[in-house]
Amino acid sequence: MKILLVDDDPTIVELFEMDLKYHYDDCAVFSASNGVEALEHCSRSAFDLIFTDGKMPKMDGLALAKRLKEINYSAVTILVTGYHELIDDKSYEKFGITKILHKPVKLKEIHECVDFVKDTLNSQK
Amino acid sequence: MFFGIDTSSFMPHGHCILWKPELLFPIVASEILIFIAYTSIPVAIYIFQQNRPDLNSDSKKLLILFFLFIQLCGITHLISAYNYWNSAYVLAMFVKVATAIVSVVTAFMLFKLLPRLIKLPSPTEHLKLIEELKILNSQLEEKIQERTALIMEQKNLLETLVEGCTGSILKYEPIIDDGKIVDFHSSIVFGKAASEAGVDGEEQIVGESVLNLFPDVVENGHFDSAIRAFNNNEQVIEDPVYSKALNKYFRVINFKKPEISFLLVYFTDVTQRELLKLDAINNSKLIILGELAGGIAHEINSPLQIISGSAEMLENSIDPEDKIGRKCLHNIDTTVARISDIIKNLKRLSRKESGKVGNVNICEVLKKSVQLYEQRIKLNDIHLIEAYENSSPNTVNTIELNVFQIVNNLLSNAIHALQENDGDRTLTISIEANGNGIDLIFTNNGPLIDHNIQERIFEPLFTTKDVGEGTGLGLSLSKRLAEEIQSELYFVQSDDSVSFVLKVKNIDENPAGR
Repeated sequence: MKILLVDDDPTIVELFEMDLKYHYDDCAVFSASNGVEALEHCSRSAFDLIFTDGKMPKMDGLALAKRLKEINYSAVTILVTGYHELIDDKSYEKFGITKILHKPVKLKEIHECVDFVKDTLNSQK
Repeated sequence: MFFGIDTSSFMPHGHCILWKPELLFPIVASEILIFIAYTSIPVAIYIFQQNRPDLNSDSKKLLILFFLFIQLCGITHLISAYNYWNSAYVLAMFVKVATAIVSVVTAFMLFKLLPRLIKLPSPTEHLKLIEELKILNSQLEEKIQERTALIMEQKNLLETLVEGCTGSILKYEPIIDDGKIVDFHSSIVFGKAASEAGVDGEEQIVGESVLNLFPDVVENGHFDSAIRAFNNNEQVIEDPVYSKALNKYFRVINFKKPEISFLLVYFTDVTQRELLKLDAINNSKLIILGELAGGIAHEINSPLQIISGSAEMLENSIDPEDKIGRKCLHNIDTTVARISDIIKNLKRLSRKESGKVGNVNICEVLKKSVQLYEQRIKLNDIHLIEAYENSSPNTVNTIELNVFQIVNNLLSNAIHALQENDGDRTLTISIEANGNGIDLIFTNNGPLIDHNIQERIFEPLFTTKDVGEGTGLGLSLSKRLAEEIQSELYFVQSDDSVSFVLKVKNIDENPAGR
């Protein structure tokens, strides 16, 4: 399973990466610091799960998700944002976002998303 | 005998005309008639004088002289008639002498008064004068009526203006000592000055010392402004000026002209206006805070993410038996959650975000909150009495998050207040059913809330804590949060305790009229 972490804060990226590598042997974790970089990665690889921050330089998480939807990129996109907007996930569906997590997010919630995608992938095989 | 003369041998006058009746009787009869006529004239003069009290003293004297003169003349004629048969020539002599004297004096007086008598207006002239006077009089009457009407009009206008005026005017007369103004005597020119100035009865603002009447005028600068206006013959405006004693705001205009010897002080109560301003300022403070909070929320949440995530990862590496380690990690976890909540609530200051209304167990909320403050309560040696455990009812239809936040704030404040106590520190938490919900009561025996600040403690940014300790947001936010859930937050205090009461009411989700 390929996971892409997109966040302009390198410490957060490092944290999630550490955690995912610790808990999941079979996950390949990549990172990008903004939406533009993320798109470059996506053009080279097929990711199954993308965690993206909201506000980033050059291209934010929402714009990234929209772009990925436009090109029918098949990854599950999760928005992990520090902005406490009480908007439910459904409103973001049209942007291609499957779920919104609010920082500070529990690592367990990250794991839940990974498990969900894993199960989905397994059931598809 | 008269001076040695034997008067008995004198002849009566009849002899002179040889008693011829053709001469005697006409002469005597005439003398008698003259006497009668000359006696009646003085009577007429007397009657005239009685009916003319307006006569001046000179005129009266003249009349008296004429009275005497004519009467004496008459008497001489009577004696003359008498002496045709008798010889009372001595008597005749005396009367004649008197008559002569009086007539000379009379003539003298008459000539003396002649110029004035000549000047007296004739009846025609007199009537003419009277006519002219009547005309002048009626013209004057007309003018008076016109002027009276004008005055009444202006009086009505002034009365209407005064009634409509919200202000008052005081007159300040300076009291000078050693060349400097040390005080003023004040009196009311118009307006409800007494009531506006918080003084009983207008009598108290007549000639009363300004420093006595309004004790804070030095402090709030009004006294200096008044002196400046007086000394410089100018207008000095103070808007607003706050009276601590009356807890009111005034717009004051101090006005002096060189032509007048006193200072006029116009003042209007503008407390309402100032309160609205303060309210607007408070609101905008809140909005700014909310916006600021929103802006920094993201900035804080990212570092929080790192702390929280790192703590979670640590849990994987530490020894499961390491109780202290686990406790610390747990603290990090809960504290991060708290910070996150605080950020969320800061934003809520300006936004009407509503949580979900549901059945809330008040006791559970209280227990959770107390748990968060357990350490601080212990560290501060506070004796906590939780008198809500078995209370019933203990559920209310409301938003849990709001109640939780308010309770947190009240606990935090109570702990902070109790830190001032050297001795016994007691905090009691209890609940009571009110008509439509539950009252949460937090009572502490810390210092009482000062009278001066009681109205301000719910203001945003108002704080009694030291710099760096509190944001002053707690109670203002709590009040907002309470209002959001249709509840009330207030405090009461007795001689030795302060109680904050959160009156949680069941939320009416379908209020009438909406």
